[in-house]
Amino acid sequence: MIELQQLSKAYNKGKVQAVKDLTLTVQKGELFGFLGPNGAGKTTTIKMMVGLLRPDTGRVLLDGIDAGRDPLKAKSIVGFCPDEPVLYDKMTGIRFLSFIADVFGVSSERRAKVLPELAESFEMKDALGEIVTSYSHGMRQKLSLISALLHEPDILILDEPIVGLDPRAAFVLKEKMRDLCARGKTVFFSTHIMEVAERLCDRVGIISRGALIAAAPLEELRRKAGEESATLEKLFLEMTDENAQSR
Amino acid sequence: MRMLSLAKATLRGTTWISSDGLRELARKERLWVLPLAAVGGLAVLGGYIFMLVGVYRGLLAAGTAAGHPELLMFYALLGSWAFIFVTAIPLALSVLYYSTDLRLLLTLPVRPRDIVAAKGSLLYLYCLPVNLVFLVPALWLYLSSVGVSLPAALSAVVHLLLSPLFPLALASLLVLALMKAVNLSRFRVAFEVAGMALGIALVLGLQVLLSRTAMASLSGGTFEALNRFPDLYGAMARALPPLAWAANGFVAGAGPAPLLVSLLLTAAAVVVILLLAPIDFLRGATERRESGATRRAAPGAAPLSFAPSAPRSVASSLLRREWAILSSNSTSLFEAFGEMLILPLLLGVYSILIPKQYLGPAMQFITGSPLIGLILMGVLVSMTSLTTVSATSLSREGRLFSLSLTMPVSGRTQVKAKLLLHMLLFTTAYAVDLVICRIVFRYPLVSLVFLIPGGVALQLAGFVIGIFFDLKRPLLKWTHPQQAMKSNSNAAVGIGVSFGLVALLGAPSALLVLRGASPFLVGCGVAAVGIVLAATLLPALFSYADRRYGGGLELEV
Repeated sequence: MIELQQLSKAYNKGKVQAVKDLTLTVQKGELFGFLGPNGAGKTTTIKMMVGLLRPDTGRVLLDGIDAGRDPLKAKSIVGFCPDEPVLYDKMTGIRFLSFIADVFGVSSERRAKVLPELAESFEMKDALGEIVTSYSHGMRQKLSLISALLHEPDILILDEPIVGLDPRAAFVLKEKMRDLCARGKTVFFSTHIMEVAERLCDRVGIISRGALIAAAPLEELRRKAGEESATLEKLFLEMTDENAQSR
Repeated sequence: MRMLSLAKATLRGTTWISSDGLRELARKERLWVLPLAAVGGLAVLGGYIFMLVGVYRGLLAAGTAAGHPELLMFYALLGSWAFIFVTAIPLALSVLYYSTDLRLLLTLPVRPRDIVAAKGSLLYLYCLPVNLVFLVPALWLYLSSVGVSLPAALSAVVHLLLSPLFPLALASLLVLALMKAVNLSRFRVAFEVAGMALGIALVLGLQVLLSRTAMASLSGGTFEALNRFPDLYGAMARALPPLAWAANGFVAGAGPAPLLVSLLLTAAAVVVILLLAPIDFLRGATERRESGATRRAAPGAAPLSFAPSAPRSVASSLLRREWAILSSNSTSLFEAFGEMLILPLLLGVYSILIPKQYLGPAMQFITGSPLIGLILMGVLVSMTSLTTVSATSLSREGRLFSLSLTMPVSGRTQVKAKLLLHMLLFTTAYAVDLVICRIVFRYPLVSLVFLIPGGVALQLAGFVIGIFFDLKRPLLKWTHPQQAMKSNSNAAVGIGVSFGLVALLGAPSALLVLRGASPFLVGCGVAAVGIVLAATLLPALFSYADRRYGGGLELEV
């Protein structure tokens, strides 16, 4: 479970308020889509969740663990894939994955079982012996995703994971996300692709100008808007426009 | 015209040599860099030309005595061609292969030959000043001695302007062969390190040659070694015919043939490059870069291993990761190994530079000093801490640092791996240096009692302080790995602190010994201070690292 409690973060000595008073709970077994226009605060929120940024106020609880107070314990249950893959270029794919497995204490049995499985499903089997420099953007993204899934995290946090993936890899990823949720894990991902969020998520959250303006299942958002057949895209545009005009 | 436009665009887009570049420098208020660079460049150039003239005078005298004053031109051309050939290899590699604008240029409706010619003209512009430095002083001496003739004047103009083309073409051919034979993307770091080492060797070699020969000519000595070979010119001319043809062009009665042959040779080399390069270079640039994909797609290719390795401890895995980061950057590698090898390199250079008659008394003075053990500790610790490696250990990670922050590993564990890598590299170097110094300077073996623990403790203290600065203010936003080390003030601070530490302990130690204290006891005292310092700083660094990694280290967004 992910609990964000009154999270706030400002940059430039308080001049730019990136995230303001954000409170949100994502339950175990829930697949949560985090939406918002560019610069709305999605990545800042995610960075605070995974320990890249320290919130100015508020706290992040991951399965009840305070990420600020016990960061190592919190990080050990999280799998994270950033929007731009962060990989060691001169390592081979398999060496990078071995490094991540070592750091997360993945047993040799699990490595032997899961790694070929993930490599196969993301069609990376033949590429893992190559150095990362020779990878295309999509391949880097796949390697980053495999590294996030390798230790079977209780909480999976993905920042724009679909961008750059080929259709097959995108399909596999969506299956994995669903599968993790079915096994009681929590998945939190940000995206700009409304169709994906609409079809995949149990609930979506919409952030605009640093504030969470909605967090509910799509049906509830439609009901609130009084538009029973509206697409998520339409609802998103209306909500973010309203939010922009009200400021 | 297209070739000219391409050459201009390449020059403007990749260097500061343009009005746009100057405007950008002015906008950044960095125009002061230009006069500073000019003064520095002129000072270095002046020194080299002074020594070069000394060497040339000797060669002219030796050549005239043997009836071949053109020996001077032969050597001047040899120096220029050799220097241009060696330095043009990395330049050609970067311009023809690694250049980032290739991906753009290959999509434009321009002939491949134009791209090659544009890149080639840029290389020519880089090499022309080198040629002038080698040839202008030689021409001045030669023409002053034998007088100005029409063939000599024509040869002078042709060689001043066109001479770089021949070695440049040869270097480019070598690069084309490398591009065809080796995966340059995969072995880029190895090539860069080899290039840097070759560059240093070339500069050191030139320095040794020039200073030795300048010393000989200043002290009134003659080039005895040259005079021992009566047919030196004939032997050299037979060994290197293209140079002999070029040098013969300067002889008054030689006629136009040697100059024409030189011109034809240069033209032929350029034509070969222009014919070959568009075929191989462009195919190479597009295909070899995609080597991974090519290998994966190759039918029947051997399957690549992707077997997961056996689990390692976090510490061992982090140490390997540190090595992977260091070795992925040619600057880090070069600096690290430079630091490790600095003592043997310096000893080698000085043994060649210092005339034998001075070497004996110098060694006697050094080995007879009661301070030898203490001095060695100070020198060796300074040498092996004169490194930008420890104070940039976080900065080197750049944006990959965000991965370190998301790992469930404490700051102290991550910093321990960095320290361990430094100790493995530089403490090993210190140990090897101690062995070399024992052989060369014969310091008393009993000094090892303080040299080993004291040196290691002081090194450790220096590294700890360096990492502390980088933890406090890492430079994580860089576009090229060199910036992490070269444009990082932490590196200068780290080196300064290591030196300061040695000076702070060295000065009172020397005073104590000069006032009659036992050098051995003073050495033990210094070692004790070093151990206490390291033991105090280490826990402080670890707890600071825990705080910084544990959520306090803000990455600018």
